[in-house]
Amino acid sequence: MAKTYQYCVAENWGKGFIEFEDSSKFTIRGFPGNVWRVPAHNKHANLWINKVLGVVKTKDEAQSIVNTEVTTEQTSWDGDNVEGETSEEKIERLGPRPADITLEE
Amino acid sequence: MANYEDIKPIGIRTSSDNTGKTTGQVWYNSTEEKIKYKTGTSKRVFVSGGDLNTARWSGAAAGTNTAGLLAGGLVQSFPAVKVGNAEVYDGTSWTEVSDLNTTANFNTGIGTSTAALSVGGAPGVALNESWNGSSWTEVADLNAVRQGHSSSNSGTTTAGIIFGGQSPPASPDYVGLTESWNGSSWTEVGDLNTVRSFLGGCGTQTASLAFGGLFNPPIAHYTNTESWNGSSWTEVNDLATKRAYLAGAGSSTDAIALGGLTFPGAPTNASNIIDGVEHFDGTSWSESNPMNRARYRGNSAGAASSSSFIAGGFGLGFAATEECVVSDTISAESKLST
Repeated sequence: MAKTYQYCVAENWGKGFIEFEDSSKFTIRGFPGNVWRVPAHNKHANLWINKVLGVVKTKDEAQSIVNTEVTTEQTSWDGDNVEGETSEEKIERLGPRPADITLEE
Repeated sequence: MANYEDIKPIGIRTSSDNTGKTTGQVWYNSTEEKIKYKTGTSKRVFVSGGDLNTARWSGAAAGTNTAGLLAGGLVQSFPAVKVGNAEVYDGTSWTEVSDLNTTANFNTGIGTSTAALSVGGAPGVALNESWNGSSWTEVADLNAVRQGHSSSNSGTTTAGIIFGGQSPPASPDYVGLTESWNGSSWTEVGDLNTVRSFLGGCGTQTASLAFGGLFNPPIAHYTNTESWNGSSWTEVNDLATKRAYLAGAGSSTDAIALGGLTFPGAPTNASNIIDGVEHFDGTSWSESNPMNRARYRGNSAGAASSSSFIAGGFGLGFAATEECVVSDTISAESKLST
């Protein structure tokens, strides 16, 4: 099956990292761990990866990075407790426990 | 649409900016060093902005994507810590400025980067602080303590409203209360038709919008949108997607709903943090291009969708800013090699 997406790791340096010319030509989706998903076989997406000095990762490599970050988030959420607080109150204070993220092919 | 030959028959002209152009016109932008073409339709997308110095969620934002403000919020720790940090945004980077007098989170912002209010906060406070561009001063309290509420975030320090949220210790503590600020005191005005907290909102004291949110118990999530005309709330067309903990920005005729959480089941399901954006044109909502990163409990402001930003959100070190850009101009690279 042909790939729909490709993944890379790139540090978001802020202004200029994703510009109008990028977002208006293709969809960029960010994940924990500075993992970015862009369309595969797309000239503009390839140029963007080049611009941001992205390191291309396979889906499995990207998934592993995301998993590590999500586990850290979950550990953080699990450890964030206030004495006497109910689980419902905790969700209200923090939002739901961060869930696993599954990257698409 | 006009033909280019009819508009500019003698060649492409040079301009230092993109203002005042006609649909179908082509010009050379000497600042950007690009050939530009004005299309007949607008595109709304998100671009990256500068990172917050202090990553956080659920603070009070005000201003625009070229002159923004964020005050307070929660910083991830064990447990999460509410802060009084304030930062201003110049369209490129955030700079630390004077802190709130009292740390706050689930507060809401009204105003600009040089004149703003930080209103309410957890755990149910009535505090109201006013920012003058250099320091915060405590001003008159709300009539009812409030957290998780929303506001007319492009109002002013002399004219604004806040609405919805929670007012503990009442049980259930969710409220539809609306309070209006005149620069010296708060007055209770017409309630929301749908009582809710963690909703999106935007607008001014006389023209605001409230959308999405949740109620508990029993748990209910909303697409409901209400429009404020200065004296009462009226139901208008709903969001396409139920969401809470979302961000909102813009005006009552040009609003955006940003991200949030969707709830296909119980509220413990966190699998649906969304990047989805909807745009309200004064009549109905339509899907817009998504943000580049899914987030909830982000901090947002902007007087129009084109001047809005969202910064931070729930999560460790979540400091990224995205700015909304609306453009009806496309460009081609034309810089000469040297």
